[in-house]
Amino acid sequence: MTDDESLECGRTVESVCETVDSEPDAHQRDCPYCGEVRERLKQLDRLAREAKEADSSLEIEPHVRRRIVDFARSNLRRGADIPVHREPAATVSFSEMLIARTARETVDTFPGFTARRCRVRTIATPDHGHQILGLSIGVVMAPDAVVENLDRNVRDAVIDAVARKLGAHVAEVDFTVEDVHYD
Amino acid sequence: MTSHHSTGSPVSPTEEAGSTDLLAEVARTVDAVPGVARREPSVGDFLRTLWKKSTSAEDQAPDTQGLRLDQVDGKASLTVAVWVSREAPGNPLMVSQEVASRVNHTLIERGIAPGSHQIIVRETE
Repeated sequence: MTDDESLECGRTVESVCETVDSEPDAHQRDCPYCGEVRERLKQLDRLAREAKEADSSLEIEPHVRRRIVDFARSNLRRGADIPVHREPAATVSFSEMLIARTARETVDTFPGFTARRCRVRTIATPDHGHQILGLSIGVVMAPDAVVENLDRNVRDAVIDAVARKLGAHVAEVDFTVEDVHYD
Repeated sequence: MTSHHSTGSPVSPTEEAGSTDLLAEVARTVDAVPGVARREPSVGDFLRTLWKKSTSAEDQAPDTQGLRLDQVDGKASLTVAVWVSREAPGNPLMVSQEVASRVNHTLIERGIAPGSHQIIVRETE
C-alpha cells in the first residue's frame, strides 16, 4: 500500500474496499471521504453484477482483466491532468493528485497542521514554458498551532517542495482552516 | 492534409504499412528512459484498444499499450501517460522532457518530423 491510495482522512482505499461488504464503522459513518469511496465501490459492484446477469456467458480474458485493473489503478482518484510545462514541441502534464499529494505531505511535516483537500489550478500564461499554478489547501490545525505559520513558513515550503520534487512552478497557495482538532 | 492515428493495439488490416513498427519503436524508446513506466493515456484511448481486434499474433507482439501516435502532414505527435519512479534521475518534469527528446530522436532517425507531444505523469512510485 502506498500513500497515493490514502484518503484525506488518513485511511486507505484498500481498507474501505475490505470492509465494503460489512456495516461501516464509526469513522466511516461520519467520514465523507470513506463514504464516497464506499458508494463508488458499491456502484462498481452493482454494475459488474448487472453486466454478468445481462450476459451469463460474459467472460473476460486474463490479459484484458490485467489491463483493466492496471488502468483503474493508474486513474483511481488521480484527478484532472494539469499542464505544468508547455513548449511547441511538447506539453508535460501532471495528475492533479500528484501535485496535491506533494503539497499535502509538505503541510503535514509542520507540527499542528494537517492538510485535507487540495485543489490545483493554472493561474497565468506560461513563463519560459513553465505553467504557473495556484493551490487551494484545506487545513486542520491543532489548538496550539500558530496560524501565522501558514504564511510565514508553510506556503514557501509547499512552493519549494512542488518545484524540487516535481519540477512544477507554484506561485499562489491559499489556505483555508477547515477545522481545529482537540486530540 | 493527410492524417493517421495509431494507438497502442495495432489492429486493422488497413493499418498503414510501417506504422506498427514505428509505434513499437517509439514504445521501446519511451521504455528506455530510466524510471518510466507507461500507463493508458485516457479512458477513450483505453477503450478503443479493447474494442479493436488483433490481426495476428505477430501484430500483438510489440507491447505498445498506453501510446498514441497521431501523424498529421508528416509530423508525428505522441500522447503517452506514464508513472515515474522516485529513483529516476531528475524530477518528473525532467524525466518527461527526456522522453520527448528521445522520441524526437527516434522519429527523426526514421525521417519523420516530430510534432507536438503530450506527456502525462499520472503518478510517482
